[in-house]
Amino acid sequence: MASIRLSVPATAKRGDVIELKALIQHPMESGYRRGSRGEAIPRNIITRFECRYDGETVFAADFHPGIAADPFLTFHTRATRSGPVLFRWTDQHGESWQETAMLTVT
Amino acid sequence: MRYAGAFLLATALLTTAACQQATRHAAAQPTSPALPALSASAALASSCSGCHAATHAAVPDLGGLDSATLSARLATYKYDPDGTTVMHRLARGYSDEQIAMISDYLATETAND
Amino acid sequence: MTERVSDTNRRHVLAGLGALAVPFVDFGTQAFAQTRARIVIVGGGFGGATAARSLRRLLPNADITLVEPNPTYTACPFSNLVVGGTRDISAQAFTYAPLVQTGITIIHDRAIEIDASRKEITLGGGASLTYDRLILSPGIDFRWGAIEGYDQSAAKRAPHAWKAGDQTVLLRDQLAAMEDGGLVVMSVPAPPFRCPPGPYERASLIANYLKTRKPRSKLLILDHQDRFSKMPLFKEAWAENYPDHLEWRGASDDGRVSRFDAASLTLSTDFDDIRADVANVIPPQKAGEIADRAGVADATGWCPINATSFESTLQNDIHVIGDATIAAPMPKSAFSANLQAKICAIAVARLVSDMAPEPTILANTCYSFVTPDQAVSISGVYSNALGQFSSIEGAGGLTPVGAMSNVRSAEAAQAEAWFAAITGEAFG
Repeated sequence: MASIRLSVPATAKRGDVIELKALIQHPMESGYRRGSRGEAIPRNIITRFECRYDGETVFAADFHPGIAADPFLTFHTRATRSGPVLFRWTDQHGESWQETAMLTVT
Repeated sequence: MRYAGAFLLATALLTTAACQQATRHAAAQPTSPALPALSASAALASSCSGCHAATHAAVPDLGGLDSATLSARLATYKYDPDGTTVMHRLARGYSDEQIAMISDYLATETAND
Repeated sequence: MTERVSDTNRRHVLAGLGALAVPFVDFGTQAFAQTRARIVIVGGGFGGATAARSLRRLLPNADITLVEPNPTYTACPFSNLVVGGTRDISAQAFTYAPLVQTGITIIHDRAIEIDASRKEITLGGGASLTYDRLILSPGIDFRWGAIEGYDQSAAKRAPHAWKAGDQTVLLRDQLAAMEDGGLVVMSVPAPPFRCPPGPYERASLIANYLKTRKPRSKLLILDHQDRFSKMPLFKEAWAENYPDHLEWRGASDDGRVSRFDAASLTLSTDFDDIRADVANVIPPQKAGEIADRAGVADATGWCPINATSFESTLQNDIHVIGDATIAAPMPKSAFSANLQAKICAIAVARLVSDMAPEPTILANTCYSFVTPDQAVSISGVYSNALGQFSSIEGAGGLTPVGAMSNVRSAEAAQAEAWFAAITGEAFG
């Protein structure tokens, strides 16, 4: 069970540039490491991150094995209308985790 | 030893007692690898005195114990596979030879106190 | 007779004496090296005080000088019991009078510059000192500003209490003055820092104070680490004793404090602004300031040393011991500093007696209180061969998880014995 933390302002003025932050706890195991007995540790990574603001994709990223554990993203977007801001992570097996914050634009 | 002889000759010209004493010992024993306080045994035993003193009953004072007793106790800790006390954990880090050196040193050291 | 010795001959004789630096065997049972070497120790904590006393014993004829600004030393080990209200700060204080009695010269001043090439130390009062060998035991200093807004003046509002003394008392008094229902927040830095299990011992004892005296209050630990020293033992003790009074948030769970506002006592992480009623900010650390001045600290802020001799790898004739060193896997503990001081003293005594330092085995044990009368411990055994520290395989380890409470009570008593022994050895 991954723990997710989001930072989205509760309110913003229309036209403001707002900062969005998202962190998910995930090992991001590269697949290149070996365990204490020399066995290969299988790859286990998140491959895709997406942020949708009122249904529209405003930020997306593809993750590769070089991304460190517990990936933390900070990005900006422009406040245009009130609506849900959804953050979704999907791993290499297709499993996904998501969380939503509400943004009110005045 | 020509060097020591030359050295003694030179010192004969000096008059202070301190210099004479120092050079006399130098001539008698130019190097002394086994000074007890600077020996490998003393260094190994340095880990003990941080806890073991005659100040508190919860950790035994090692004063007055002979070498055989100390060695036997340390070996008991080292070779008890189920032991989990601090001394079990520490004793496993030393070879039997090192345990003997520590025991000899502590027995001599505390006998001199 | 002496007037017949020409200047050339006299110089030759004296040079011969110096080069030999002869070991001296007395007629008692103990043998010592006789040298008039001038050895200066900077820093009078567990490392420096122990080094001075050890060298006094090993080199009775040497000139041993300890430079330490404070007239009394306040010990960090056991100071978390002071914070938690179950120990008096006076039990932490030690004077240097017993060192003076053994013939160690103590200069109560601050070393502000060290010139390694001239082997000269400049003191705050303006005087200077020269040495044949210098032992630096400078402890730690803080990286002020590494947490934005946490500087020396902020520390008066939100004590770090990571150097014992007034700061310890300030944190204790703030806890005592806090109203029931308050939130105490502790920020733990990224390693390396002094006393790796220290923050968690302190958390345990603060939680104990809240539980017994202010039961509607809570402690939140914000941590730059995801794993920490004795973690399974602390987690076990916390679940058992403080389930409602202590919450730990690790680095990957937004535990990293990056900003501090002293006016509102607000600690900010990436995602959160947390207002505290009492804030204990333990800042990131580095070797004591003088290490940098002496040129013995590297880009990490800590001091690389040859582990066999404790001599700096950056400057000749300067040895560094204690928290300031890069000595991993040995921890930055009082036990390590005291033992490193003893081993370094032997190495220095051998060097000034023209003998090479020899590798040895070093041990460490750190006790941590999880309640005022129960403690757990971690031990390690290390080799310092080939100039490097390494752990001895199969040795060391923790108090077992799930141990009966009488095991932890016994370890608390052993901790008391350790404190009595080590302070006796360091300060007399």
